[in-house]
Amino acid sequence: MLSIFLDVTSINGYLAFSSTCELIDRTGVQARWLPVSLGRSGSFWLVGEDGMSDEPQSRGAQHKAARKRHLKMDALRYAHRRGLDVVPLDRSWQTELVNSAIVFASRSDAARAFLAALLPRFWRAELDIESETALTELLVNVLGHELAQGFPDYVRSDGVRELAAVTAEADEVGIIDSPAYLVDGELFFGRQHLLTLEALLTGDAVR
Amino acid sequence: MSGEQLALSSDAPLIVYIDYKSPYAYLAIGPTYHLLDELAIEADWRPLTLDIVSYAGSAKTDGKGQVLKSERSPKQWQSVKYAYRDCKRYARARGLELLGTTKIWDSSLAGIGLLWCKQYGQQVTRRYTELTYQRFWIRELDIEDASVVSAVVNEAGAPVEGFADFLMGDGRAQHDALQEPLLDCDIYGVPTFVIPASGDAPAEVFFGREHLPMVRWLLTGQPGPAPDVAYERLGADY
Repeated sequence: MLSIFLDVTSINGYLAFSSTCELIDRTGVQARWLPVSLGRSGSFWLVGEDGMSDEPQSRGAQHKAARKRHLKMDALRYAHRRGLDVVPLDRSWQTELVNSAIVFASRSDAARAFLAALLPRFWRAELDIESETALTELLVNVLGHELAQGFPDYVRSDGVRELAAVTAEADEVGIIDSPAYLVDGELFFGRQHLLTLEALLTGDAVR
Repeated sequence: MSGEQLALSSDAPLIVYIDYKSPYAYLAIGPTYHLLDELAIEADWRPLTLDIVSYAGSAKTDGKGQVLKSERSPKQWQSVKYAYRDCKRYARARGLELLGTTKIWDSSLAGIGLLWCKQYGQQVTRRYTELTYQRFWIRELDIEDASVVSAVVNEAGAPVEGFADFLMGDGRAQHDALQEPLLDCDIYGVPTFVIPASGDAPAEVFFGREHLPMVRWLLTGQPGPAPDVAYERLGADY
């Protein structure tokens, strides 16, 4: 079993999505997609947040600003070289609703299909993930009208409890970055571990 | 030469910034040598002495994991603990011993030792780096002790006559001048790989050994589709 913790507003989560799907397909591992909210720490890629300041900064503040600028540039560089359209986020997004939609899709074993539809549109700035209407429309596309029409009621009933359970699981595991992968109790942050994960899942790794 | 030119320019095709107190930089050494040997090129190795306290808080332990003193937030601890777990699993798979440090070290003397050894060729530089990393990470090397660093320089095959003066004088000045422009060039951690500007192509900066596939792709003329980030497979023979 592979558990994948993903913040949809994390550009690195988006960059990891297709290669994570390929890993799942190659290994045949059963995967769980678990939505998390990392807040601003996971969304370094905001317009105008380049960390530059005319004011004197402490060494620590300079370090954090340099890190933020570099990570932003690096994500854009990889997205560009892989042919992915990405538009810098214009603000921090509330993710409770979209995370509920992912958990809702999971009930029909369709979290991956839902994310495949959602992530490119969100990162092209074509989807309002705070809009129940927009998310329901997307769920209709993925699940069909009959299943998707229950989403508004779900958000106000079971969705609260089920999302809280996912959040509690992420807190228990110690998720501080996205994407995060959990295999046999071992936690990995970042898509750079995919080769290692594949080796672990196929029994081809030295521990 | 401007600070940016100093940080991003070199006669070598690749600049590698390292710090001996970073386990991530330690783990990058083998894969980097592997790449350099495969491409038959040499790198311009440079010290980047991390000011860890400024961005990750300070801490001191008793060597058995018991925290004696800490100015870190819970999130900083969580991040630091994950980083060590992550490094240790890759080190273990490669047969490297990696014991957590008991304090935040000032690694500038060891970095100046690197600058000294560079004057005596790549073989000496590699030997110095290997000895320093191996011994520091089993807690058998006091990198804040000039006489200890000098002994490693000697063992690596570099002369030690003049090294003490270098540590206090030219070497310190070179080291400090190298650190000055780094943050403005968005170089903030180790290992950092820089492919210097060439023709119309600007310099490219990469932080972390997971970028070695991309570094290799760029150094070999960008054959085929661009690779994604990737660590070496657990158990890779580096």
